[in-house]
Amino acid sequence: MKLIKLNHIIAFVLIWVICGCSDFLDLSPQSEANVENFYRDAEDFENAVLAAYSALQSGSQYGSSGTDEFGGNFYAIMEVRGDDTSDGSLGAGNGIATAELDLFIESAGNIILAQTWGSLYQGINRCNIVLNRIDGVSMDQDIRNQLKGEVSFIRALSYFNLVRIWGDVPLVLTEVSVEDARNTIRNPVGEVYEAIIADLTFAQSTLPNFYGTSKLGRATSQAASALLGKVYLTLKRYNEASTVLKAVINSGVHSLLDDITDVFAPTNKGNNEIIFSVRFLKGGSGEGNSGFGTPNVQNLVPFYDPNDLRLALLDTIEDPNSVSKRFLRKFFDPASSAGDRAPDFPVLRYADVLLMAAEALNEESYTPDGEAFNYINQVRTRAGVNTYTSADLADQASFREAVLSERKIEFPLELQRWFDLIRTERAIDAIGSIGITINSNRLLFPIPQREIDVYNNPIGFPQNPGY
Amino acid sequence: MKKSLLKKILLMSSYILWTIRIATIPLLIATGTALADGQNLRNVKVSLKANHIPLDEALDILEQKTNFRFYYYGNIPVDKKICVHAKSLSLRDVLKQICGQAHVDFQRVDNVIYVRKSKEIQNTILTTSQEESVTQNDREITGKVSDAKTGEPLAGATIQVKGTTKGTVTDADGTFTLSVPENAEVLIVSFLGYLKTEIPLGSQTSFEVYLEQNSATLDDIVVVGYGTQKKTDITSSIVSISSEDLGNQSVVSIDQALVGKVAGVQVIQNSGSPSGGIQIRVRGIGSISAGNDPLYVVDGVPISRQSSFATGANIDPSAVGSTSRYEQPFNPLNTINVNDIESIEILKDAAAAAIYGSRGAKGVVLITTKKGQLGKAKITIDSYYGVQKLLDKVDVLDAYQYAELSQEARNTTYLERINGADINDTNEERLAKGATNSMLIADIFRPYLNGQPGLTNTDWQDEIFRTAAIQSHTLSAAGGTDRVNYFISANYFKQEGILIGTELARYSGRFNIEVKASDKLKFGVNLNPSVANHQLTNAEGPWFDQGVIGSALFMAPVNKVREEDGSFAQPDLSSLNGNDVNDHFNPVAYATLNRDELGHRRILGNLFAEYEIIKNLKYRLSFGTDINDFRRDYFRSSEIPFLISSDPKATSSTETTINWLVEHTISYDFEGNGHNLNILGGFTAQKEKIESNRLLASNFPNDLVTSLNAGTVTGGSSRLDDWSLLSLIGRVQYNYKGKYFAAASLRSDGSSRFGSGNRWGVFPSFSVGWRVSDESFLADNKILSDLKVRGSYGVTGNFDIPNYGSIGLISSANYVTGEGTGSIVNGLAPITPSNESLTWERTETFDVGLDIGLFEDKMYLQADYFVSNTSDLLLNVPLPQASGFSSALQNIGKVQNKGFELVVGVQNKFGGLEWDLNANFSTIENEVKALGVENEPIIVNGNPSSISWITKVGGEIGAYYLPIADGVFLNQEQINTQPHRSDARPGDLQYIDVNGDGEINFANDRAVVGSVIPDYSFGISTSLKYKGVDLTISFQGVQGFEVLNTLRRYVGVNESFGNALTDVYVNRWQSESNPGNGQTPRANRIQSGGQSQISTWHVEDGSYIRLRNITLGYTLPKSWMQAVRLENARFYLSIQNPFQWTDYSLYNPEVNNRPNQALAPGEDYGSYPLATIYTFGTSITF
Repeated sequence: MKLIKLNHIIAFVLIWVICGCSDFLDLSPQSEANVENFYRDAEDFENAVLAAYSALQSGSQYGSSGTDEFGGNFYAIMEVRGDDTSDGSLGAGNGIATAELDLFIESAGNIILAQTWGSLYQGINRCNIVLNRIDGVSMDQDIRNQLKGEVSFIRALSYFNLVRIWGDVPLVLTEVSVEDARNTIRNPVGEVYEAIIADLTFAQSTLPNFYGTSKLGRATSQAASALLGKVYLTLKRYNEASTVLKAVINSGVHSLLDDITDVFAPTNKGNNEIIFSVRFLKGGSGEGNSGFGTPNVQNLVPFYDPNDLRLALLDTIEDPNSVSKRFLRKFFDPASSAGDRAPDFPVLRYADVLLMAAEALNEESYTPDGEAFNYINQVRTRAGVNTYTSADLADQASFREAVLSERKIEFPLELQRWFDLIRTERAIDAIGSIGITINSNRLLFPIPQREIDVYNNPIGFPQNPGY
Repeated sequence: MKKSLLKKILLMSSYILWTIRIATIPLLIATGTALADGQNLRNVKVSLKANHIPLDEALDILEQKTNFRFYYYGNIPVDKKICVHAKSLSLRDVLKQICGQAHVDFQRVDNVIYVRKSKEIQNTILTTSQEESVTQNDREITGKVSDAKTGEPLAGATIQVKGTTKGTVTDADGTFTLSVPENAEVLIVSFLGYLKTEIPLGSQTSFEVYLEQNSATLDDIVVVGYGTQKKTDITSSIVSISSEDLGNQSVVSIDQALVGKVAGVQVIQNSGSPSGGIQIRVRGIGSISAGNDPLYVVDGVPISRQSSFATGANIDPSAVGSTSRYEQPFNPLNTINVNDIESIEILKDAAAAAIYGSRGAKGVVLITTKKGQLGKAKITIDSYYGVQKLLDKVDVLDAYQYAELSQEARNTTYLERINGADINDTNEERLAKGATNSMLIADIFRPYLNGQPGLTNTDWQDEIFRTAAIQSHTLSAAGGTDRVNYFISANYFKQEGILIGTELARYSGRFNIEVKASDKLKFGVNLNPSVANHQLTNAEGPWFDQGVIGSALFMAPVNKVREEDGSFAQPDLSSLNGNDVNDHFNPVAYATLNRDELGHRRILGNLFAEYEIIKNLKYRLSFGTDINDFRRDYFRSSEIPFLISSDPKATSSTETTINWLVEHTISYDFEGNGHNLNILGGFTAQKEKIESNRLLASNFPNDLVTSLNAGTVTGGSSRLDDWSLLSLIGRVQYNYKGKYFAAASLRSDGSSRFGSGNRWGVFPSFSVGWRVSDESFLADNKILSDLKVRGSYGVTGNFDIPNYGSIGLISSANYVTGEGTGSIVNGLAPITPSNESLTWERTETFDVGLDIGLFEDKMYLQADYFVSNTSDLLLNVPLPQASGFSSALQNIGKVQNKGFELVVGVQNKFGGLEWDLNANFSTIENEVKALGVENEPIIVNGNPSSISWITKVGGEIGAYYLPIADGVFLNQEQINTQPHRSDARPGDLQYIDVNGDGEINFANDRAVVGSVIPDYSFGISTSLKYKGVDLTISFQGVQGFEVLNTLRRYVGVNESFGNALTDVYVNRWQSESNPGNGQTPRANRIQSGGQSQISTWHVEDGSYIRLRNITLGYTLPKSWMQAVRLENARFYLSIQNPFQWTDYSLYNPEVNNRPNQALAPGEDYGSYPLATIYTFGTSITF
């Protein structure tokens, strides 16, 4: 009897302990937030989504970092790379790497490219985590859809930038393990664009047109549509582009401001012309932006009509509280301390939508004094310059030229120029006109050498040609 | 039914008796009802005249006449008429008469005599002198058991009738009395530590038995994981060291006593600080980033060493003013009193260690503490007192030499760098010609240069080192009965460090108690509470981080320690050094003024119960715990002005670790027909929680109150960590006739540290052995007494990976939204990737070994060869950024260790002289086989950053990777014809153009120039015993490894920025005609020729041989001791580390400033030297 009892006890203890196994071994950090105890409720996902926006602020993307007041990596890749702008402060920070990009002598080891590649995928990962996990958490269905729409927008924007910079890139749409990441390959451009269109179509349908005051600045349905228009335009799918862009115009949600300088004023953030911008805040919060560089845009001035109201945006302003001292008026915001200023960066604005719509309609078919004329003239009227008629622009080609020229003087420093040149296949000529001869391989940037080394997969993950 | 009822009553009553006896043994005599001293059936005489009276009546009479009481139950023939005529006959004889007539047997337990029907007595329990039985057909034998050598009686020896469980044990005089059944033929006499003897009974009734002591090698019991094994049966690589082997060494912790004792186990004493600094490396270094310390198991409890605390850096660096405080890590063994230790077993190969699974890869050290032995209480006092002195002083310049060197160096710089300079120029003229301060002759040197006597001439080593006391006192009581054994001890240990400002005082206790509650149930406790108080100072850091020892070696001897008013002097830097470096500081002031105290309180122990379910099938439950509580208080005095402001600062930090363990094991032994089988199975769970807090305060008004309340708390932090481990274990050990052996074990570990996708690991092992000497073809061999070959294979793991390494961490990534300027909204994003497959490092080990005994084991030899391959090394590996991250902790990489180990020994007697010699020798080869994804070498830089270590495929872990200095340029012609640095001059070091490009570029001209991994190491110890005198001498040495002496960058370059090594000063290049030894750079205040680069000039051969210990002891003769009623008394004199033979220029070649960084080992910035310790000790047993 004694024996039986003892056996019972042993059996009981064993069962008790073994049953406790799974909990017993599932320990997670208690002094640090971690993926095991996060992503559990709606508020966690709200935080996770805002972190995805935060990636866009990085100095490796739309932001700029450090007290050297360098304009940031996108500025180097998308603006300085073009024909209109060179950077005036090449000595500081990423200066040498910027100069290489400016002069088309960059190698695969260029630090800006490596940083930007990493930052874009970091942002994409933050989006993937949300999309992967949010369906497993109970929350209000509308909120869930909105959050999913927002990260879909950010992911699409990030891939749109990746694919335009490097061409084929790994298309990662779910959270991947360390091992799976190693097995990714460079997916063809077409597949990447398909994913971008799918994300934006989803975002379009789930995001609201407006947010309440505290959420102002988050991605809207209009932002998704406008970006989708730009994607279609880039893909030369003009009919789809014009459709979606006209919808933005006809919705009446956004409009041109009367005074172009108001669009960028730090005191006028979130104005009606801004469709989507990356937000910053100064005052020592760590959310500041050190400014958008000290560009040299003197090449650009002759392209303006002397009466063009937009010319004033290219004036230089001195900032005593600054390292670099001189800034263009366009994004100027006096620093609260060195490197801490707060101009938002406009990614999509209504004037862009008008000009893209004009371009798309013209590419579909030239219509004398048609809608396309109307759109481009809205922009010109606001700038205080003469409007175009079919007498000025008698055929499709000349209208095409006019739109491109208009974009050149409407969007300096807005990271449009290099991709406009690529899209319209003018890059080699335009760069040639400033005295630099480039091969077509330079239309794509080299894949960062670090990635080539890590993958070590020449077939699935080759370098771009010519690098 | 009735029968079983009776049995139960008997059984139960005896339980009660035992319980009473446990509580009252010492009081037995005092209680009136109990038996008078020594009464037994033989010495109680009775007279009885009984004619045909019933049995019960006769027993009643006997009860009245004696102190005994008779117990019986109804089925005894109480009415049976008996006849007894006895006159002053022993009760035994009386009862014997009754036996035959009434057909009953008697069994006495204490003062109770049980009466039962004949042949029903169940003598399953070993009877003792407190129990005896009288049965009808038995006969009584008596005897005495003694030591065959000394003739001393042996108390507690077991006498057993072969083939039965009937037996007894000897009393304090070694005598025994036993009733044996008539048909008994053979007695077995045994005693722990002696050879078992069988004695034919014949008709003899009195026996004199002499037992031979068991010579060291045979039949010893060795502790293995979760059990014990006969030493002769072992087929894996296990080293067992008894407390005797460790000798009388004055050490704070047991690991220090192991230095040089074990082949294949490098015990690296890299600091002489009382508070720690020891590393044990079992068979080399197998891990790059997951730690290389073995698992320590104390009485079955794998102990905690999670703490980064203790003497590991846990002070806020901003308070210390040091960026890289060099501290030795917590030594988990220094709370355990060396006197309490019975044995240490080191499980070297995987076959032995695999039972510890994911923690076995770095070897396992099993520590077993003492148990009480059967017999009366032994009270022992172990005491020693000693003094410690610096082993070897470093030879540096005195003030007059220093002034000379300094003048020469300044002149060199002046003449070389200033146009038109003349050596006889005055300081004014020099300044006029454009000299800088470094080219002037400081006023302070002039009297020295003029040879004026009686000037300040400080020997800074004398100032920081002292003759320090060490003492240890242990009082222990040990003893036991057949039911209970106990070992209780209390210890006070205090060691002043030879460096001022360092001390350790420890108070510890031990309670080891084991109770045999019944013949089936046993339970016990091992408990070791301790309190240790450490006084610490920043001993070992670089001088610029205020390391006291480095500073003392570097501090110029022209500086005073104290001003006339008694306050600490600080050197006049501007005049002395002539440049803007201002962080020399007074090391005596630092070690004296700052307060740095560490308190460590610990409870380590376990409770266990063992139940024999059926014969030889035992279930054991063990609950262990290791609770550590640390508190460290640091206060930086306002009188320390350098580096950081003189505002006093203080930190106070605490850490508590709670570790608990539950183990269920079942074991089964089977013996029969030559087959011996032991099976073990079990389940264990262990968990540890680590909580720490730290507070930082400043703004103290003065130095009067040093606790935080006197200042303003300016910061703090808090942390909570935990880990858990669940395991299933199994093992089978088999041998056939002690000739053919096979064993296999398996452990499965699941740990919270492993990623959820890789949570459980399986660690198997197999081993086989063949005792060739037992085969018939060797049976008649006179020379070979033992020959065993063995081989093993096993897999072990290293689970010392970060607690939550597999789980991604989240950090803030805020954004801005809202109208107007907007406001911050919180975003949170992962900053490190999760790695679900993160897991243990895996080590596979093959081992083959040979054990040989010659001439009846008077000579023995043990040899082992092993190859161990570690894979899945933990590394921080670059990731494709498409994962969202740039790098991750992953299991990639391979390291191989292989080595050869040899132990030879002799033990012999020449008349009364006993001689014992033991020597061990081992080699180790370490090779990195794979690293990361691309096999990129890992280069680690030190401080100065020109130090580098390389870990690359094909090389050793953490090899020095430096330019090669090849003597000095003897003349300009050599410079012109060889690759050189552009500013090189004759007398500057020349470097080898490693890549052959004709230029000396330090980044490209580096090579692997040595490592801390030795070619071989050895230990020799010998002891002589003659009558009461014993002498033990042991040596130990490590050969073929290199030390990176970074302090040489300052004291070994004749820069005269601070003091210099005499050797370097004497051998310096002075001119083409007087080039010194051709190796040593010239005196030059501003270095040229790239000499500030760390190179092979700073790498030294660390090989050393150390006379580790000499002990001379004397044990008083028995006759004297009996006179003063002592059991044993021994006195001894011991000297530890009296000599060291090495070419190394600083104190201790086994230095390692970064013990936790396998990739950057072996650096010396001024290490805590070992002491020579002279002790006088006594060990007295009552």
